[in-house]
Amino acid sequence: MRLTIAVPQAHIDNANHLAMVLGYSKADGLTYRNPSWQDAHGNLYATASLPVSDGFIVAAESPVVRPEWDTEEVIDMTKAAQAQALVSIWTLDSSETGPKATPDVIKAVLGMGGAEAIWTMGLTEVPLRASERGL
Amino acid sequence: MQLTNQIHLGALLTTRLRSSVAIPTISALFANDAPGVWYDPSDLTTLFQDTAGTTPVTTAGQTVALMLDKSGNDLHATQATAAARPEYQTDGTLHWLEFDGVDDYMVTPTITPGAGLSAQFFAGVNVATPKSNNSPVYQYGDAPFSSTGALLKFATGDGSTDAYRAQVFGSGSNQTARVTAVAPYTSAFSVLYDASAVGADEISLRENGSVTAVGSATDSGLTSFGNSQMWVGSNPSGSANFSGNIYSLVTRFGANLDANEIAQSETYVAGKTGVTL
Repeated sequence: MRLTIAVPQAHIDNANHLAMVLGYSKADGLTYRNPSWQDAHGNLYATASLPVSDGFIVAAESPVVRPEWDTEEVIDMTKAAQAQALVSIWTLDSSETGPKATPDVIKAVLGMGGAEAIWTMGLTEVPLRASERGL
Repeated sequence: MQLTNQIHLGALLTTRLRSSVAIPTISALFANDAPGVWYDPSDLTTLFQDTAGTTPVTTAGQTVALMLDKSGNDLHATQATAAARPEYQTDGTLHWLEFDGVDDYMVTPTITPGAGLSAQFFAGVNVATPKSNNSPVYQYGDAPFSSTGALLKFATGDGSTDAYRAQVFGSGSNQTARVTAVAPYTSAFSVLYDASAVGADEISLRENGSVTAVGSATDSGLTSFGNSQMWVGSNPSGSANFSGNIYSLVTRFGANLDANEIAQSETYVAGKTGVTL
């Protein structure tokens, strides 16, 4: 099953520390990059979408533990815990009617395709500047 | 992100890849050490779940961290961040990498094309989801269009209109070959950049064996490609991500190809894509 996550711009750094806790290497600290998606109010989000196992969800909801690979302690566990406290996982059988992204929550949608989950969270692409598009 | 020096798979692997090439059409493009890359998701010996190349991809649904380059140039594409890896998929006949349109991409080590070369790009692509942004299937060069620098890319999505397009940029205006198209669609695309041409003939965009657009009339000002990584499935900043499948991808820097070479390359890519020319 696929998990798609929207991280409000203000929480990107913390969320990348949580991504390293749940990931495999320092490279997972680049999971959330540019906040290139926006909600209806113009709030910005960085997103990620990936196939996950049931074990991943359990780990994501369990107390954060420094992974064995992080012998150099690159992960700030305080930041990871702060990010985890903001995570709200929505599934198709959730009672919540719509998993809309908001600036105070790290919203995660489980069981939808990436594009569908992004749309369901009410996010659209931030239009690229002309200098990036080359129109 | 700097991944350039992460992969050291050694001469033995290179030799194996060169000797395992069964399709002379594409391998011939890289004769005489022509710079470029050749990625073939239908060849499972080239796909790995880790960047070190120790865990092979064996079944559909597994993510791809390393895709070996079959050109002989050892320019293997990687994705070190687990969440940003595309998935290998197959229907038993065709094989492809699926990019989720959210964050998936891969990146090559630095390519060194040399001076004054033309370039050819062939790719079998399914565009799954309409994108408002200009989302690259591939992008060579990271120069923004507002400054001098070499850039060549093939992208989907075009502001408010769904389209696909090829773009080249040097020190002048960007030159674009653009075709309106509503996703989903599957085609074998080619982008041909002629270094000797000026103006509209500089860039040619082809779909399923036929020209669909040529460049805008303005000269790109491109005199030579600089050394650069190539991004597959995203622009360098990650602000525009491709949504769809890539069945085959070949990028070559070198002399212009003749009509027969172009036709053979397009036939090869079309076959990998399930498209009949």
